[in-house]
Amino acid sequence: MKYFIIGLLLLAAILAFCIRSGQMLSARLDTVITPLEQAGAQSAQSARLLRRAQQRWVEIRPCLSAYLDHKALDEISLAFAALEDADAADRAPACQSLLVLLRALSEHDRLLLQNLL
Amino acid sequence: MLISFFRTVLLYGLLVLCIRLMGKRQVGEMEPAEFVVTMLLANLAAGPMQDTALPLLSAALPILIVLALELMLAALSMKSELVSRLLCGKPEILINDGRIDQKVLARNRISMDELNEQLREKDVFDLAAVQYAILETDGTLSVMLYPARKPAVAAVQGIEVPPTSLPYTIVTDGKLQQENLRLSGRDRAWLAQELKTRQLRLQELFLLTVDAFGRVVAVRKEDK
Repeated sequence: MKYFIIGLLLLAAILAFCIRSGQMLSARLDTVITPLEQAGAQSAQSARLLRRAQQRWVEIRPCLSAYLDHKALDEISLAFAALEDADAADRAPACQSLLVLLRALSEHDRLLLQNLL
Repeated sequence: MLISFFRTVLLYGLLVLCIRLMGKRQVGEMEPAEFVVTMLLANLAAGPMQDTALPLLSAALPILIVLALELMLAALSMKSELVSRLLCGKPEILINDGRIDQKVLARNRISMDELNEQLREKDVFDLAAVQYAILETDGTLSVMLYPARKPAVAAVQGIEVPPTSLPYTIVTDGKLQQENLRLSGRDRAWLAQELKTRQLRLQELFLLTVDAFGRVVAVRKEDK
């Protein structure tokens, strides 16, 4: 029965790690998502908020790459670059598409679990 | 992360079930759960090794989950006969007292050609010599011949043979195996005496073994 308990403990530890790292990733991504959402609502301060979001993204990206597919992260980095280059008129749709990508990544586990179970 | 956990657990269960349903002939000398683990581990490791865009954790976590599931199932199957039977099945008697059980053959999807092939692999070329043939849970065939067709052993013929024992390897390629020397119940003084008798140095020995009855086999290194 010793090996059963070892297996069970290992499984429980991995499950806890998965839940914890999912929460951690979601929380870090929220620090990027929140200024982007505010930028959409407050056009006067949007440039400053967008800069803050991009700065946060640059900060958290190395940490995210240990957990998430690098292709998805590259896609978001490219979307940030496109947002930076966009004209004032194109900025709102570019910001929205970036938000969609970030929210999808943030809710990755929850959305997939909904589809799975 | 969480999705990797549930997907691995579900896929592991599904694979064990599929392999179990495929029957013993698919397994080939491994229990179904072991076969699944072997298949899974190789594939799980291959992904992130080839695709550097995938984080290492995406392989490490599923591998650890498979390990945990395997540990739990192995422990459960040792404790519970029901779990063991569900996971590994039970041995099937293909030839019962000289009679081929065609229903059991069909149930295990084994053709007569395949049965003959497996018997030949066991050095049995005459089906009439087989009293029992049992398909084990790992897919191998165990064969029991009629007593009259079994090779004569010394006990049946009443021949007295000298006792044997497992020889211990004391020296290989000029190197002393300390642990084996201890297990054989001998010491360095005995080895020095053996070397002196043979007029050899330790470095000149290719192999030296000794069994429980003191029989020594010494092979000298060939000159290069």
